[in-house]
Amino acid sequence: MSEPARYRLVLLVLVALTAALFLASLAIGPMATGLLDSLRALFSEDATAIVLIMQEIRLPRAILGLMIGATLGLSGAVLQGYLRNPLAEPGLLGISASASLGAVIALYSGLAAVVPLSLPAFALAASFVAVLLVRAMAGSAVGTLAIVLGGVALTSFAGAMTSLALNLSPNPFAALEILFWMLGSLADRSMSDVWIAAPFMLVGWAMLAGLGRSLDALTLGADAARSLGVDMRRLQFLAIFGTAASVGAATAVAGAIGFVGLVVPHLMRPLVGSLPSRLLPVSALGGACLLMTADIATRLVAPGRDLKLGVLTALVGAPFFLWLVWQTRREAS
Amino acid sequence: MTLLSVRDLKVDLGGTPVLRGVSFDIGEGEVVGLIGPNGAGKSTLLRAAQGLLTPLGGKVERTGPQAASGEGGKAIAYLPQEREIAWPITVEALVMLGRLPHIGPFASPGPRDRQAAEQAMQLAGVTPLRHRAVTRLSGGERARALLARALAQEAPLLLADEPTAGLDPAQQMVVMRIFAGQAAAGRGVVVCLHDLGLAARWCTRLLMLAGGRIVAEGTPQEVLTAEVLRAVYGVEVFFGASADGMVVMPVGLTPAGAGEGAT
Repeated sequence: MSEPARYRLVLLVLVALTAALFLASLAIGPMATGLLDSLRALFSEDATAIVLIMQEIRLPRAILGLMIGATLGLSGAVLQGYLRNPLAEPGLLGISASASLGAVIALYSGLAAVVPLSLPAFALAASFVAVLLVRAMAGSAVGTLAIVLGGVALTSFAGAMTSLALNLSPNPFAALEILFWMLGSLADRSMSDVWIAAPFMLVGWAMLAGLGRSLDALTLGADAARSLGVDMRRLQFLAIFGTAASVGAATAVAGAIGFVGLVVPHLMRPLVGSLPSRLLPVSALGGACLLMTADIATRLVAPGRDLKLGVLTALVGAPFFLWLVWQTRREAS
Repeated sequence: MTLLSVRDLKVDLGGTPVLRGVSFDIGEGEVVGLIGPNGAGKSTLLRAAQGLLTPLGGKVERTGPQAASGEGGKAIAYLPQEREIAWPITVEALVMLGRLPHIGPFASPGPRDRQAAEQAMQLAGVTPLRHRAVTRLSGGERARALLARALAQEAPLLLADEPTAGLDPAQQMVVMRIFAGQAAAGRGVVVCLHDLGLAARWCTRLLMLAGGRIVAEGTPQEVLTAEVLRAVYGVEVFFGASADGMVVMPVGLTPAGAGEGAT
């Protein structure tokens, strides 16, 4: 099979898989309903229990699973390409940690209990501050080292502030609430979470999705890419702000979900001949598939225990990543 | 016809003056060898000549065909010294990257692009490797694959930074012959070299750079003289003649003090 044909096949299979998982995410839950009944309830105007469950609980959960998974996969692939580093992931720039800190401040101050939307709003504001800081630290230089180091510093600082909030929390319940939120989950999210996060994620996707060709050229190094006409400043701006908008919004509604952005590009790379421009859409779809699978698994593995999504992705992701490293080492020798 | 004209170019890197006023022209059909000791400013000159560095003073003018197209990429192809390739893409995909400046946004490579990439792979002798991952090639194969990428760009001017470093003698000849072929086809080539023998045999003209200035310029016979080489490099050189041209072979270091003051 020729390479473009194989690429189209991979895309087609992933689109089909994403659609199937989205439906499965709608159909699976503690209240057993048939797929057809569930789908009919989505568009019903009655106020029966099943209609409420479908429209108020499962639909936002499925939409967020799809969008957040795609966000993590896409931004992971962009950052690995931009930094030319297979270890890069969406959390590297300090966006996730800062968004978490914003959410924790909302929880800690008690504001989140009064105005529920203040939590994602604080998280978004914090990620916006974070990206401005990272951008300022990068200065006018087009190099990537300052960005990575700035992101590491910011992550540590946001982590320390979060720990401080836990440390000073007025009672154990407040601490527990903060801790549980940080584990990352899609349970009990509402449509208003979708409405606050979706626009930022869409804007982020729009900024990231067009970078494929510049990232292809960057495979040869920064100088060669510039000689091929790539505007490195524009690339840096779009990669950083696109990641901030989409990952900041994702973290704001779901907490920090690790390993998806790191692992998915590695999984997909062999399928598309490692070309960054082809990796972007494939990674976005792959991220959506992986996150929806993980979210469905949390409902099936321990239905009564509220297993957190972030715990599951880390639990599966970390050994899997070790296996990837093992593979790479074997190939290198 | 002149392709590139550099006038009184001055460049600082991190506050240190690297180029202190360099002027030269590159014309069609030339293979210009850029030689000089380590740290003389050769790589900086190649980078500044295509606008990758902001000069402190002076100007660089592209005057050949495609010069009006504004953006780089169509006018100048650049082969950097660095041969690290980030991802294990195929040789074919690597060479196609050279066509990026010619492919419109959201378009895919057309027949013209595929033809140019085929030709470039043929020239560099990497066609049999086309489906191999670049990270699995030997050093010489990788150098030729990267050369094919630059050739696929089909720019009127090619700037190559030490393209023969790390290659065996046969591969070095292959690369230099490709440059000669490009010049014969009406393109201009500027190539940084450390091997004086290659510079003497394959370049139509040499620019000798030392301390950020051009200290000698002309045909290999004019530039590669015992006095110049002693003064610039501090080496003693054996000169000979063969049926294929001039032979230049450094054979020893100039005794301390003997060649001072000439730079």
